[in-house]
Amino acid sequence: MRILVVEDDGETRDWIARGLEEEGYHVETADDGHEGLFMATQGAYDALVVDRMLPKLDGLGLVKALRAADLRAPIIMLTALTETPQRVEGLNAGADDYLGKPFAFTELVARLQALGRRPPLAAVQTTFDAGPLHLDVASRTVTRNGETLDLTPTEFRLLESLMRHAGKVVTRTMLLEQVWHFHFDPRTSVVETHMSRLRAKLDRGWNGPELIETVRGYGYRVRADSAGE
Amino acid sequence: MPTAQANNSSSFFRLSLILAGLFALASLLMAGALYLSVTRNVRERLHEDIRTDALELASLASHSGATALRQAIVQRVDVETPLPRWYGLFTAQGQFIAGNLRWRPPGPGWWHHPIHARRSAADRHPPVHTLTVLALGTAQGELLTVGRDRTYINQLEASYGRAFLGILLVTIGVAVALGALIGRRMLRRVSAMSDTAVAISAGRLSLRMPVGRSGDEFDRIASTVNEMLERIEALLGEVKRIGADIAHDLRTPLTRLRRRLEAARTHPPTDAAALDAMLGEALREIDELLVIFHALLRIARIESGEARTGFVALPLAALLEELADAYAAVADAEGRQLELSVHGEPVVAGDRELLVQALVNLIENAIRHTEPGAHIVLAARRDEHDVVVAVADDGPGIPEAERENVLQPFKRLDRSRHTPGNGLGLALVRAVAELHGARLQLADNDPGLRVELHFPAA
Repeated sequence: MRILVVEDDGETRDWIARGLEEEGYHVETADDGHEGLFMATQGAYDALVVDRMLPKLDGLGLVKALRAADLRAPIIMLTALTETPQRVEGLNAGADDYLGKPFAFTELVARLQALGRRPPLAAVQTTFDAGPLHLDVASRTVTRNGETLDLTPTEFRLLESLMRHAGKVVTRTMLLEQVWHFHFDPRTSVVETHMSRLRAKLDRGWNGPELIETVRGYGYRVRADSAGE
Repeated sequence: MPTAQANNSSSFFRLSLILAGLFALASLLMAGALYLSVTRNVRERLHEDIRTDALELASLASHSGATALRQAIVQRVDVETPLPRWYGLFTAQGQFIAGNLRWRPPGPGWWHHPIHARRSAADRHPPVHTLTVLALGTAQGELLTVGRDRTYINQLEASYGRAFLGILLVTIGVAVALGALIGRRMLRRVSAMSDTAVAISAGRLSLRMPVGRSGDEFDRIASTVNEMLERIEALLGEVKRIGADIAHDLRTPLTRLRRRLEAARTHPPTDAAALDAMLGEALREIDELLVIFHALLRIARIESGEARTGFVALPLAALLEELADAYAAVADAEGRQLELSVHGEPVVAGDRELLVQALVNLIENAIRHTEPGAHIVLAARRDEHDVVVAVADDGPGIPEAERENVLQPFKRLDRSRHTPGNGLGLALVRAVAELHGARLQLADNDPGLRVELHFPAA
């Protein structure tokens, strides 16, 4: 996967580029908005990481220009401004995700993977499979090896978020945003509590490894293979 | 810094003097017009009197003949009047025939003629009188003159003139004096205010504008400015205090972090696991600091009021149900019980995310500061005038004297020092409440704490 990183701070830019290369991405960089716009329109990138505050052309303007030029690659915007109005502004400009600085590198990778794997018309897909699990968004049902599981709406949304990115890490922050629409960090263990209840329901009566793995310090991952059977 | 007084000292005086000048000019015009109209009226009446008299005599001459005219003149001269009336009759050749005025005008028409009163013992220098004389030709070809003394009118005109001049001078004097007085009075008050303002901007924030008792515009400005100063002083005090608190609360974890990193450099961990644990600890410290930073920034942004533009109508029943769904499990895992109670159809205008965060903070506080087994109620109801959202618990509560205190950033009860938290939760709740025009109230739940948010009904 080819990724363009547009970031004016040299140290941050190198840190992101090196980290993404270690993850197996092919990374190119630009250090201002004009260069970013030029490179993005010339090269074929699978995703863009764009800082909001850039010299010459700021991140918002860059994203708007790219969307106006019909460039459809997913864009993650990096910013120190994370209040709702700024976030909405960023998303309205055409960014697909919004990540507040400073961030853990794994958070960026998880979000890039979540975006990169998204099919062009994500809304069409209403059923997801991960190992023995089958989730149907339309009928709001979950089965394990054909047996229906009784989940609360919250547990269902939690599992849906994980299964949309089966095999990939979904971070705690992403879950807070997607399941609870919390764009802040609650001091209590909302995610952990609901996750442990969901796991208990998924694994009750089955032996073998847990279907949902904890990636310590970062988030969770639902197994894509059929290890549970 | 120069005072404003030097620049503005003339402006009030100038204004009052201009006003006084205009007033005086208006008085002058009025007095002049009055004077002219009065004197003209008097003069016209004199002329009218003379004309009537003369025409009467001329008509007598044409109807009854020259002899009747002579008799009439003699009669009129004899009649006693306060001021003597003057008559004369001359032949066509200019010979004086009858009357008491021997001066013959050159022809018919209006004439002025000075006469000298007879010198008497009492009056050695008698005044010169002026006569207004009308000369007419009679039917017989003789010349008839009728005259009246103008002295009376001249005196009247002079005395009117003096009176008007006197009044005018007094009026101008009073106007200028009043103008100067008012100007000085205003100037004094403005100077007092500007001196105070200069002193305040020089840093003496405890000073206040002088307020008089009359409640006039100056007093209103002064008291408005004073209210503003009150608020600014309070805010600055708060900023100072928060600054000190931030310094303290951030310095502690920063010191800890620094010590850890220093220790790691002098005594590097030998095995990978120990190094990983050490770095993990350091990252957690940094994340904790970031959370505090984020919370502070967020409170500052909320207090700036910019979020108010994005307000929408929020039905609370659904919002609270979602929260209860998220937190019933958390409370349960912690051994507490969370109940939901919604009455009526409470709706408020607000920012969803901020309201959710405020309520999450309250619920988390309730979970954190109670013992296992506690009951927590998340409630909303619609009253006649407002919508009340409450989070109540049956834990230890907060002593009444401490309730205002805990709303301040970084203020925590001593007994909760050992529980996690950064002391910003309630400060954020308060900021969110203020943004929404809601009243935040900490009450006794008997036992426990009841935090209520009274929103104006949407």
